[in-house]
Amino acid sequence: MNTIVKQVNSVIILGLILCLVSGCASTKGSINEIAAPVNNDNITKYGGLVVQVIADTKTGSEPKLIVDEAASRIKDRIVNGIKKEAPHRFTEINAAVPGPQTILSNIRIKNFEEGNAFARFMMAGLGQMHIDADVDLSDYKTHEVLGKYEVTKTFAWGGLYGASQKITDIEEGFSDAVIETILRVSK
Amino acid sequence: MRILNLLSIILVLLSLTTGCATFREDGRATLSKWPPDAPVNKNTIALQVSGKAIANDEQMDVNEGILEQWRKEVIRAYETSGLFSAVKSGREKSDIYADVKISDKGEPNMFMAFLTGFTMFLIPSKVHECLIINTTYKDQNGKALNSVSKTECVNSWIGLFVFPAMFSNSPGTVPKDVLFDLNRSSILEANSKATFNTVSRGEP
Repeated sequence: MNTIVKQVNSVIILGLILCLVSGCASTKGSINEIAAPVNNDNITKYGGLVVQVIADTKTGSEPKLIVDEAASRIKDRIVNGIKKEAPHRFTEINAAVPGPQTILSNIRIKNFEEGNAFARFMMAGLGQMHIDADVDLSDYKTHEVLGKYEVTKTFAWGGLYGASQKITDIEEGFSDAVIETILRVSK
Repeated sequence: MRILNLLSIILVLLSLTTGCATFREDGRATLSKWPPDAPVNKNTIALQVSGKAIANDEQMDVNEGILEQWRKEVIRAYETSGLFSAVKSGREKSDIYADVKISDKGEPNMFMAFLTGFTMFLIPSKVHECLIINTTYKDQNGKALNSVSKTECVNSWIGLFVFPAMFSNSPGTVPKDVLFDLNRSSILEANSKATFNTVSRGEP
């Protein structure tokens, strides 16, 4: 093998490593603000958090049973993620009997598509995976709105990489975006 | 689940088709007769081989391993020609001295190369490069006898589905074949101009 081909191969390997390291499917989803968070100087008074993830998908999404299972996984990811990222922010999360100062984060999955691995393999952009949800944050007791957001995560890569990714891989990026939303409001 | 397993097997098989293959371009030098007719009195020849690589007009060092492979091909061409009583290397005392300068010149697209890796070979990369050989023949006194220049270009493809082509077009062997042929072509051209007969007989 000649010097130039070797040099090109080293650049290819660099690109390959960057692709694998960047974990394209697990990158954070995007967050759109629907209603600005209230200017609540006492936001830190909320010591509790309740995370609810419900499947409320439209036609075209996966069967409800699959979305329900995904909702359960996403809820666990969000709870564990908050405990890891801000271990001292909330004294209790998803307590059996939530205290009076608790934030209710209601995550309503409105679109959930696993896509098609073979279509993704054939061409980037086909067989995309989607998870879209409304994230409403409110006072658990008074139902006062603390913020409304839309969190979306799309995966449209093609080739071997596109085909090798599963919906659980993009659930991670979606959950990270929800975690960021909750921590941003409750800071 | 069965469909997923089948799909996984297909994907693994497809990933195994990733490879790099090198193809020679048309217009390669034709070799009239190999080996050529040997003279009655053969001279000795000493080969001085040097190499450089030029990527996008920027000169790069050629590592010693590659240079050694190139040197072997040059020596093989001269040895199999049957025109010389001995093929020596470097500056050993000889009747004829051949200074063989090899250039590996190409214009690789590094952005495409990066994309190839980043898309896990979905987008292939093509590397076009030319091997240029300039050979200068000198006698014992350092007088130039003849100078021959030969060029051949190759294209290397890196991507999915290329692996099967590697058996016949390995990037490890095709450039060696090109170098061997270019040197054989240089020898034939120099021989046709009686370059190797004009030297006064020296010590073997």
